[in-house]
This record gives sequence, C-alpha cells and structure tokens, in this order.
Amino acid sequence: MSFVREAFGMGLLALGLLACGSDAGEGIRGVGGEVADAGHHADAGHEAGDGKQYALKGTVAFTMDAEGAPFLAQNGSTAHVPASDLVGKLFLWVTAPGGDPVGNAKPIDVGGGPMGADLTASFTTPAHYANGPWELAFFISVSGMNPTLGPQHGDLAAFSLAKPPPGDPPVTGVSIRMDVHDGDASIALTNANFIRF
Amino acid sequence: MQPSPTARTARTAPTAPTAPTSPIAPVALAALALILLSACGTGEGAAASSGGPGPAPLRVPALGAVPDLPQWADDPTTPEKTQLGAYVFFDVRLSGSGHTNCDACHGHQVFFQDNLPTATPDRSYPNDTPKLHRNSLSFYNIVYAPVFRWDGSHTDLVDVMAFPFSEANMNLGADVPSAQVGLKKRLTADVPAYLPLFQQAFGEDLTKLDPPAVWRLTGRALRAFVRKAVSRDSAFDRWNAGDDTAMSDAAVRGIGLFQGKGRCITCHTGPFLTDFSFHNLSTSPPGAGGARADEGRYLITKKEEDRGKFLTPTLRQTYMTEPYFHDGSATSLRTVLAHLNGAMVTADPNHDPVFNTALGLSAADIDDLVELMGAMRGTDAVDYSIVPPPAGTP
Repeated sequence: MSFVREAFGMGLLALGLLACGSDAGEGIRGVGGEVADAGHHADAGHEAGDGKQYALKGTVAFTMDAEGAPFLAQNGSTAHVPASDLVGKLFLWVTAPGGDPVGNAKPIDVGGGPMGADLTASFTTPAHYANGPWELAFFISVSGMNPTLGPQHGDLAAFSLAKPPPGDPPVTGVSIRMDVHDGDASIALTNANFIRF
Repeated sequence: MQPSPTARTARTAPTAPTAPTSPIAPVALAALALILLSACGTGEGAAASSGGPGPAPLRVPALGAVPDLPQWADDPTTPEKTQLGAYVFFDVRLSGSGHTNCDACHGHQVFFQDNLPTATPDRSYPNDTPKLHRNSLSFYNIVYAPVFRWDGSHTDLVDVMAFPFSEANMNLGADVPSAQVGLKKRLTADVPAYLPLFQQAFGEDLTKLDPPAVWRLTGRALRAFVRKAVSRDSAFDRWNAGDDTAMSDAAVRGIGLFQGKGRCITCHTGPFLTDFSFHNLSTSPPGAGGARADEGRYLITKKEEDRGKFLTPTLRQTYMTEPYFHDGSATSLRTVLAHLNGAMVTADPNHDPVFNTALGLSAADIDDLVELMGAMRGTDAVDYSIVPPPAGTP
C-alpha cells in the first residue's frame, strides 16, 4: 500500500508548500528556544468579539530517564527513545479548524523544523485564528522516513483526549485542541503529550 | 491561507440529488433486512412513532436515518449489564499483560477506534512491536451490524465482542478454548469482585459455569455496553429529511456526486451507509509471486472470487476515524478517494467491476465528497457520560 501513502505524501507536501509559500518564515520558528511556562492558556490583551485573528504558539521539551526519553506506546507500555534518535529529527505541525482531523480538513498552516540538541522545539503560526477551538497536529519523524507521509512506526505524535468545554466539538484523537480567546494561544508539550507509533 | 469556517451551514437551497448514473450493484440482503427491521425498532434514543402523518419523504430514501436501537428478546438490556460491560471494557486486569483493555484500540473518546494504522497488541508487552496487521474498525453502530471485521469472520455480536481475548489484542490464550479458560480464571479467581456483578446482571454464578458459558456472558455484557456507540442524527440526516440549512453547499454537491459520478452509493447505502458486503478495491493487490499481502474475505470463505475483498465500512463518523482501508494505509479521505479515482483501483484482477470505468472525479469533486462525509458525523457522537471506572474497580 505504499502507493497510497505516497499519494497522501505528495498531497500533504503540496498543501504544506502552499501554506508556507508566502510566510514560511513566519510559520516556522527556530529550534531549541526557551521553554515557556507549562500549561495551556490564551494570552490576554485584546478585546473580545473584535474579529481579530491570533497566532498559535507552542513549545516542546522532552525529558529523559536512565533508559531514554519515555513515551506512551499504544499497548500501554512505555517506549524509551534514545536522545540520539530525536536530536535533529524533523518535526512537523499542521493546524485545522476545531473538531476537524487534519488529514481530512484542508490544513490552515503547516510548518516544521529540526529537533534541538536539548530535545526542545518551538513554533509560532501566522495570526490566522479567531476566537474558538482549533486543532494542532504535531509529530516528530523519529523513523527518518519521509515525514510528509504522516507518522510512521517509531514516530511520535501529540494527542489529547481531554473533554472539551460544552458546545465545543469532540477532540479528534490525532491532534491537540487549542482554544483562542482574545489573544495568542500557547501550549507547552512534554513527553506525556505524545504517543509512539 | 485563511482558516476555514468551523460551522458547516448551508447558504443556499440545495438542488435535488441526481439519480445514479452508474451501474448499481444489488443492495446486500443484510442491508435490506436492516432497513426493513428499522421500521420495527423499539429501542431507546429515537422518536417514537406517533400514529399521525408520517415524516416527509427522504430526499435520498436509500440513505435513511439510523433506526432505534435493537432489542434482543432473549437478552434485554439492563443497567446492570451495561455497567458490567463498562467494567469489562476498561479493565486492564483482564488482559494478558494487565496493561491493556478494549478501550486501547476502541477508544471511547475518539469514536471507538484508535486513529492508528494498526494497533500494537498486548502480546508483546512491554515491547511496542509488532503491530497487528489490520486497522481497528470503529464500534459505531456495531449493534446494528449483521457481519463484523474486515473479513467478515463473525456474524454474532456476542461472539465477536469476546473474541479479542483469544487474540494478541488481549492475549488470554492462543486460541478460543484456552482464552475461555483464561477469562474464567480472571473473572472468578484473579478479580473475584466480578462474581456478584455477573450474578446481578445475569443471575448466574460464574464459578458454576464452564468457560464457554462465561465467555458468552462476557460478550453479552460488552454487547450491552457498546449500545452507547451510536452515530446518528447527522447534518446529512437533517438535510435528507428536508432541512435546507443543515448542510453546506459543498456537501450538497457532494451528495449529488455520491449518487452519481462517484458511485459511492453502490456500496455505501442503507441507514448505515454500508452494504455490509465485501469488495475488492485493489487495496491488497497480488505481488510479484501472485499472492496478496492480505487475502481478506477469502481467508474465511475460501472462495476464489473473495480474494482481496474487505468489508465495506460505514461512512457514518468515518470523517473522524483516519486512517483508512483494512491496513490503515490511507491516511485521509482524500487519499482514499484519490485511490478510487485512479488507475490503481483496478490493479487487482479481482477488483470490483464498478471501477471498470474510471470515476473521473475532479479535485473539486473530491473536496465536495469529503465535505459530505464531514456532514455525516452524528450529533453528540462522543458520549462523555461514559466514565471509565477507577483503576482497580470492581
């Protein structure tokens, strides 16, 4: 079925290029940036209901134990990934409307970069996001396979199963929910936010 | 690139759907039976018939609304059975390793599937390899289905609910008889708190039953629980019933394509948007040696014509259940449609004849069909009232 993945890969790559064509620099931040305060919040500072659009911001910071960086595996076990398997590997993020899986929605913004030597990464999207829920898909191509094909065995993908506020769409299972409320929304991702494929 | 609107609201009155122009295969008898049975539904959750004037005719009668939940005269659903099913569904202590459960591959928060190409079985715990070789199907509307799994290996819902205990998934035994013994041991000796729960739900003392009988009761409890996995009352259903505002223009164009150029309705028909039959879409074509990576339905029937055939999945909620195909190899609906729209769909000599002529869908057509499938998501399809019992319960 590699032909199917290839087709998807070309599509995602094309979408990514389109999304980043005019503002790639804006959409992709350097790696190894400082880690923001933990948690998931929206910055204050703008009037509500003003029709403004804001950015989504995020940081990733992995920790290690004696065996490597621990991540949840699908069968409930803990998979340890050596730091050498993470440093320099490409991370990719994609955004979509709230409730829409990024694979089926048309991505709004796409970006990526290499994981830093200190196992951190960060990103900032363009200011395309009005108040409300949005989806952020974030994965790391640990396998080194073509990342535009989507997560492969060994890759890491962020997810959240948190119950959304009443009235918001169900979470997708393949992304992190980010809520924009009168300001740029930011999130700090750690090992616990990722599953190893 | 600007954000898309999150709301899917119609902006103009829809056009009448066009009649199918492609050769339409006969609707599977099972699907027809379900449509007929739907008129007799008595379950909870849907409007009861009033005896007054009936509802307006559906715009697409072949794609009717999801009927009332089925009732089983020999096994009426009770709160005790449903609660017991929930305990079993979430209890990692009933797995071989003690670390996994049904929810691991059929996550209740993510549409009763796992969004993974293929799952990691329990057998290898704590190693996270190898993978199972087929994609986890969603449980949505499984209580209505007449046949289960990608290859149709099961036709009894009770049986298929318990069967994963005998597989690498839950790993209580290498085959059904040994897993039945293992399950009885777990429920009676390892976690004896289940004994009063089975007594309360079924009036049975597990210690006095043979392992196959314990197996069946466990399957019945799970069957009661998965009645919560229902996707219905989608935007498409409301549009189909006459609400012009329910779907976007793109989705309305999509339903025209669904019945016409896209030929989707050939297989995705009936209230569940599946014919519950098996088709070869060249998703597992023969390799250089002539063998397929997965022979699909043939493995069950041993009929040559079934080689490479797999179950038609429902399209209700499918927008949320990426990836797709039996091996999870298609990462999006656009990937699926690109495959069906391309030359590769006829790569298998046993491919479904509906694809003998190319669909000829444009990129815009594919976008409209994806939009339609977004509109086929049920209202409140995630039941957040399902609360996993605390660890160690019961």
